[in-house]
Amino acid sequence: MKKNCLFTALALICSVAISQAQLGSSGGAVVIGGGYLDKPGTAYGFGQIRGTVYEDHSVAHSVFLDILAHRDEAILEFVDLGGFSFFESGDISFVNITANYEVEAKLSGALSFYAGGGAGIELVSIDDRFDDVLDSDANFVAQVFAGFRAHFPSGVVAQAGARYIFRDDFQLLGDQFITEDSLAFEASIGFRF
Amino acid sequence: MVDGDQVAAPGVLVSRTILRSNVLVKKGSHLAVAYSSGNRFYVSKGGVLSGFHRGARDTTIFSETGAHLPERKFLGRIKVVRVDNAERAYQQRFRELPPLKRLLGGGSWSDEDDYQYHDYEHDHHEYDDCEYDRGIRAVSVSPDSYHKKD
Repeated sequence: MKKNCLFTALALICSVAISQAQLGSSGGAVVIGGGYLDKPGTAYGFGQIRGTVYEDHSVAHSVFLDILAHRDEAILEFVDLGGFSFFESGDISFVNITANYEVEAKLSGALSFYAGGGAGIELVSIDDRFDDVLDSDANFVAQVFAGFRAHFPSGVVAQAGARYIFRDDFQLLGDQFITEDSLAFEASIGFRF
Repeated sequence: MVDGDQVAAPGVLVSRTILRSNVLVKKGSHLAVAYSSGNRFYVSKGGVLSGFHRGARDTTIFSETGAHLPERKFLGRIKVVRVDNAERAYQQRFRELPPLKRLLGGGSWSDEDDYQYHDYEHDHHEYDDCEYDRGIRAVSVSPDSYHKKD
C-alpha cells in the first residue's frame, strides 16, 4: 500500500514536471552529474529532467524529476540443496527517484543560487555475481538541496551544490539494514531547451 | 609454502603465502593463511582454516560440514565445495573431477556422493524472489557499508 501511494504521487509529480518541460513557456533542462555521499562514503551519479514553472528577471520556479544511483558491495550466503552454505560476492543497487521543487534566485551576471526539496522512493535491490536480482525493497526518501548555478549563453548550465538525503532502513533477504541520513556534495552539467 | 602438497601439522600453523598447493587440514590443525593463489584446501570436520585477509585467487576449499572456514567477508572470491570426506578427497586430488550434472538450470552438481561441486556456470533466467533457478537459495546478505538491525 505504501509503495503504491508513493508510486502514484511520484507519477503525478513527474507528469507535471515533464509537461512543464515540454509545454512551459520558460522551457526545461536536462542535467547529469555526480557526487559523493558521506554516509556510507560512496560516489553516486544522477540525472534530472527539469521544467520551469515560472521565470522572470530575478527568480525562477522549477519542478524536476531526479534519479540518483549508487552501489554497495556485499557478501551473499547461499544454501545448497544439501543444506551446506557457501559465499559469493554480490552488489546492492540503490536508485532514488524523487520529484522536486526548486526556487532559483538570480544573482549578478550568469550566476544564480538555487534551493529546494523533494520526495520519492528509494529502490534497493541485491544481485549476485551473475547480475541476477535476488531480492528488492522500496522505501520512502526525501531530500533538501542548495547550490550555485552558472548559465552560459549557449544554453549550457553548470552547477555545484549539496543535498541532504533522508532515507528509510531497507530490508533484503529477511534482514533489515540501518541507513543513516546523508549529506552529499555534487557537481553537474546540463542543457536548457 | 610454494608448489607443495602437504598435510598441515597438528596445532596452529601460520603461513603468509601459499601458492599452487594442495593442503589437507585435519581435525586438530589450524592453518592461518594471509594470501592464497592456485590452491586447493581440504578441511576436515574440526579442522580450522582462517585468514585470507591479503586476498585469494583461484582458490577452492573442499570442506566437510563442521569444518571451520575463514570469515565470510574473505570468502567472497573463494569457491567452497562440500565433500563428505576431506581426507579422501585430498588423497584423490589428482583424479579428474567427475562430470558435472546440470540441476535446475544454472547450478551444476556431480553424480558422485563424494563431491557436490558447484561450478558457478549460470544461465540467466527469471528469478523468484529469494529462491531462484541455480538450485540454491540465498539466505543472507552482508553489505560492506550497512549494518544489520538487531
